[in-house]
Amino acid sequence: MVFAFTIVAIIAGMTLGPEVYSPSQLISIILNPDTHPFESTILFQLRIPRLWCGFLVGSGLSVSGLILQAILKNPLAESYILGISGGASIGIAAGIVMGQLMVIPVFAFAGSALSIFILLTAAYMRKISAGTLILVGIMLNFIFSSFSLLVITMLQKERFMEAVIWFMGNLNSYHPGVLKTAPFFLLPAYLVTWLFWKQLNIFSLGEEKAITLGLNTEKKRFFWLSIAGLITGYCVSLAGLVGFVGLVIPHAVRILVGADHKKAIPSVILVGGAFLVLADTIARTIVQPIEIPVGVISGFFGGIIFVLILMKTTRRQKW
Amino acid sequence: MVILEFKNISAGYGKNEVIVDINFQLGKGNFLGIIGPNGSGKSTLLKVAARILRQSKGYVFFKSTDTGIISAQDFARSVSFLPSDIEIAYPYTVKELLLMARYPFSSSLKKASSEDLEIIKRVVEQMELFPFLERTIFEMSEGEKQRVLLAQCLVQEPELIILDEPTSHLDIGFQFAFLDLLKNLQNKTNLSILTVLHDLNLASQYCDNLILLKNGSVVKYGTVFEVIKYEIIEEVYHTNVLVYPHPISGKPYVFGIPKSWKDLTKK
Repeated sequence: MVFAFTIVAIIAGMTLGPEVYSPSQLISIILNPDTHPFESTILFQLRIPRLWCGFLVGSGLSVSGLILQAILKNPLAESYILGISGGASIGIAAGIVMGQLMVIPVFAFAGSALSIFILLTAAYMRKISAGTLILVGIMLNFIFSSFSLLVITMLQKERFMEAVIWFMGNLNSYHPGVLKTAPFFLLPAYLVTWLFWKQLNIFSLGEEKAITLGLNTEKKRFFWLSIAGLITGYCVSLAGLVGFVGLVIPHAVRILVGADHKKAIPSVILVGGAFLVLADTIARTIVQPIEIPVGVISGFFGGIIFVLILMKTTRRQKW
Repeated sequence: MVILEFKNISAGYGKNEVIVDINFQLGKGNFLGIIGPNGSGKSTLLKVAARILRQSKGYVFFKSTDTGIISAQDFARSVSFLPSDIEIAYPYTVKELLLMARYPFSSSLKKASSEDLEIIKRVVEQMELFPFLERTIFEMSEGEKQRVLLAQCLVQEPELIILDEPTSHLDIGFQFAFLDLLKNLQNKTNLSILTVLHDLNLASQYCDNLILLKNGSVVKYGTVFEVIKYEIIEEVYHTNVLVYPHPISGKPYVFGIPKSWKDLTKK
């Protein structure tokens, strides 16, 4: 089921767009790119890189959401609630003020790294509980977002629009250089997460139980927060603030395959990636020739689907 | 043999000392209960025993070794802890929960060994959990849930089990069933038990020894007969009680007295 969803999303991402290819056309384009120069350019230069970007961002946000939900034992945790997006938004605002394309992703990454750093320092210095950590994150988010909104309201009109699109999250303005390096960073991070699935299971039982099962929760929390923060930072630098995915995909996956992280981690990578690819395909095609930011679509359809799932399962599940 | 010993333990949060200068010994195979009014430091004492909270003064010895020099993993191989109000946040199945408790016996990367599975199978049989194995914890009643969480502790094959108010959410049937299970384990496998209990009468019927705490200090430490006396209970809990022997066990049983009755007897 998880695999089927992924494959459908990838095929849809390749075939749909201003130019629609049938699956058989698609195969002939892939097999004989020389006989279809125009189509193969679209496919290989535009759609596949964008699809890959969407997949990485969707899976990255979902994995980091899953990690945070486990280590904080809170099903509402995700990187956007923990202030990481707020930090990134300051970076984006600063990048847009400086007006250079390459600066935005770098600053976005630096911004989320900054907020993770503040969060880690808070966690380390005061030995605060998971609940307090979430509150600190929410406050960080407010402070950062207010500041970056202040900055962008002082921008000129075109610049302002650019900032808004980054804040909504979109897969149209990624930097090709960033996308090229992303797999070398993100894929190992996914692998590490999967290898240590047992720790996430133990963590999600709560701090007291985790300690008495022999887990050094202080050290490991530091480790997992860093991993989740860096993954999120990379995703933000590719696509801006795509909200919602990190919160909802882990929930959906738990309903599909269960809560055990051994199965949940790979499923979250596939489903999260496929979900964003599908959302982006809709974003590109629903009101042509205008392109809607993918964050809007993922929030809208994802929200509706999620409420439907919840209504069907609330009898058994509690959140 | 003494399995757990507290020597001059003080502990708390920040500068606040919640428990002060606590001393006691828990013998191997003994059932020791901690009782006391709300806020008297019962849970803090347990957290120090389970190494969740570090003491500010004194030493804790586990089988004559200072627990400060035992690694968390080694400690987890001998001692398990059941927190109060444990809320499982995600829909794990019973089987998954039991497998998790083998964590201290393997590394993060290893698969479950045949020995792990063997132990889980034994605990499942002992606790009669076989029909529940594939069910998620969300689908179980409070009493069933508590049995699963106890089973999770037993999968660690502990010599000592530490429990924080394990029966507080259970109805009377499940309360007795749960404590019967513990008593049975104590008698059959010589398991040592340290538990906080809220209900004085349950504590009196099941524990061998009791520690009565008030404001972070030990008021009385001894057998249930020495601790459950009306003059001690009245002073610590600020209420009037009668203490009579239980008609079957002969252990002390506490009867509360509503204030209106007292006025009646005065007249």
